[in-house]
Amino acid sequence: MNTLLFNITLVSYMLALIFYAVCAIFKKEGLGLFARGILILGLFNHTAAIFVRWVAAGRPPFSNMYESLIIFSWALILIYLIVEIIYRIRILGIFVSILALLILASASGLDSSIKPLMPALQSNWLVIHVLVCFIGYAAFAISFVSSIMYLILYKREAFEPGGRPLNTSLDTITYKTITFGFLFLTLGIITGAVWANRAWGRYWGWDPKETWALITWFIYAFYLHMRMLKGWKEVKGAWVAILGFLAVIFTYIGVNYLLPGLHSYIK
Amino acid sequence: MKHKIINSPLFKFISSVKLFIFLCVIITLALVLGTVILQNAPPNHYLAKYGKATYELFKSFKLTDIYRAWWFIALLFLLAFNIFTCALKKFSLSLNRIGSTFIHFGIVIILAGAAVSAIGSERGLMGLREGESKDTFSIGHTQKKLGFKLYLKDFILEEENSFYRDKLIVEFQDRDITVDFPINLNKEYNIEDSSYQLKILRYIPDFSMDITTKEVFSKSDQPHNPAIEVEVVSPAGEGRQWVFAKFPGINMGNKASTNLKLTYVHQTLSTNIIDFKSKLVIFDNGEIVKTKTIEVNDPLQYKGYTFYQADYNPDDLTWTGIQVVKDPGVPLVYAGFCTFILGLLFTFYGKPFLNKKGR
Repeated sequence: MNTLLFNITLVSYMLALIFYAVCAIFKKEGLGLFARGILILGLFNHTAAIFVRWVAAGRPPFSNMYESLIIFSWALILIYLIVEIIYRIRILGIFVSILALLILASASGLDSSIKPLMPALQSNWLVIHVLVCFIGYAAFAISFVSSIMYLILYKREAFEPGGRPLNTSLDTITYKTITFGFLFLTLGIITGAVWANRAWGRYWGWDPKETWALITWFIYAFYLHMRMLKGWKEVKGAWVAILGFLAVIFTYIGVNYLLPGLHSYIK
Repeated sequence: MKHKIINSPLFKFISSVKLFIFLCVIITLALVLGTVILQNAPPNHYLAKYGKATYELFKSFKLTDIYRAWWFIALLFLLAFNIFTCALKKFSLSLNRIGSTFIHFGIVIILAGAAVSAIGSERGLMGLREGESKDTFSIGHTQKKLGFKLYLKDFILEEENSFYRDKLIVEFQDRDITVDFPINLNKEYNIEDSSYQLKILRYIPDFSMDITTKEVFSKSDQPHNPAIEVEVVSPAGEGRQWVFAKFPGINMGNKASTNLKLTYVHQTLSTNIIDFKSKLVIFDNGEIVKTKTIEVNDPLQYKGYTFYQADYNPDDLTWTGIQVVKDPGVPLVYAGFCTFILGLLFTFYGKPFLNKKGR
């Protein structure tokens, strides 16, 4: 990634974090809008950085851990902005910007050199599969943040500036981001299956990455069934959402380092 | 009669959400085990890692090949049956339930497709040399007839060479400073944050020394023993030393400072495989019916068989390894994918949208 663009992105997210924090502490609505503006600018810049790398590499920059972290943080901010605009809730902005900063910071410690794509990755499916997966991961990350916030706040009577109870909003956001993430995780598994069938002639091979994606899928399927059929909302739901995100992290990162398999080039 | 079945306790149990949750948990645990325990490894791996008693336990529960263990397949069957009966019980095409119906039947279709694949698919390998044609492929030790001929016109390996620049790495023993320098002869470098200066005087690809005259020369043009002569000017004095890429421990000459560690990294070119392709021709009844250059991610299909570029031999570039697959389950699985996604989209987004409009 271009160093200048990378640094501007980092600074924007840092500024956004500061403004979100100040907005939450002093309850100044105007500052919140300002924070959102900076976050949007940061996202534009982030997008530009990805495109610059795309052009420089002559291929989609979706092939190793460094590149995937850049995409993950990008998707995280994108999905967060959509959630913020739809649900008019700003309190998550603090934690989401911290998360994005942590991801970008850990990316900066990794090998960022551009290497050619191995034959198995030379496919249009790469773009679709990776984007779909990371949009899903990002949605789950937000459900994780909102669940944690819910568990911290549920005993207190917290209200949003508009007067709505904060807990209800957090619970709704957890649910909605999980449904969205579930759709994209499913699409991620399906695009992976179709691609694998195109490349190797089998749509499922019990590769550890596939298996862990399925485990994650089962956990969220469990969440959705318990919520819809047994009324597991709020505290219980929040815990399942947290468990689900731990599985996401293991699928995304743990599998690459701990379990051998087809996706192990992503190191 | 129909009523009787639906009201029977067994049917109620099989179609219950309770069973679904139970299966969800058990299958998830089995999957976790399947990724933690390396699958289908040779016995020695398990004996060394877990010991004899544990390995015997693994064997009796088929934990070294979980995904093909009878109990795992039975669990999947039960899950399919559970979802199927559950979806059947709640079958409805009403606005409220049509999404859920699609989702659950979608999964049943996917699992049915997987069963068709497991039973009805053929999967084998075919090795072809340029100019050779074959009408059989091998599944394990048995040969299977294709019914038509596959001819390899050409095998193409695309490589890209990347050259790495040599570099000199300078480390200070007492401070945490490491600096890299490109190998440019006779250029003076100032080492940042220090009063050291550095100059590379000579590069010898194949270092050798005349023992009597102490004259340094190169035995050949090839980088068999690359070395550089580095001049260092430090506050403590001046020094010239030879640094060897292949013998990092040896530093010949007089050092300007013992504080400085010099390492010479000589990297030769590396080759990356960009792509490998096979030009294939299909002959059916003696006539050319199809021609295609296949590569990874772009196979050739004919009469239910798909030919995938799978392998090549770096020592013999006239040979290609082709995977041959016939999998009648695929259309069913893909149909299940579509049904599932449609159901999911409708449940999460279509239904709320229509409800909002209706209100």
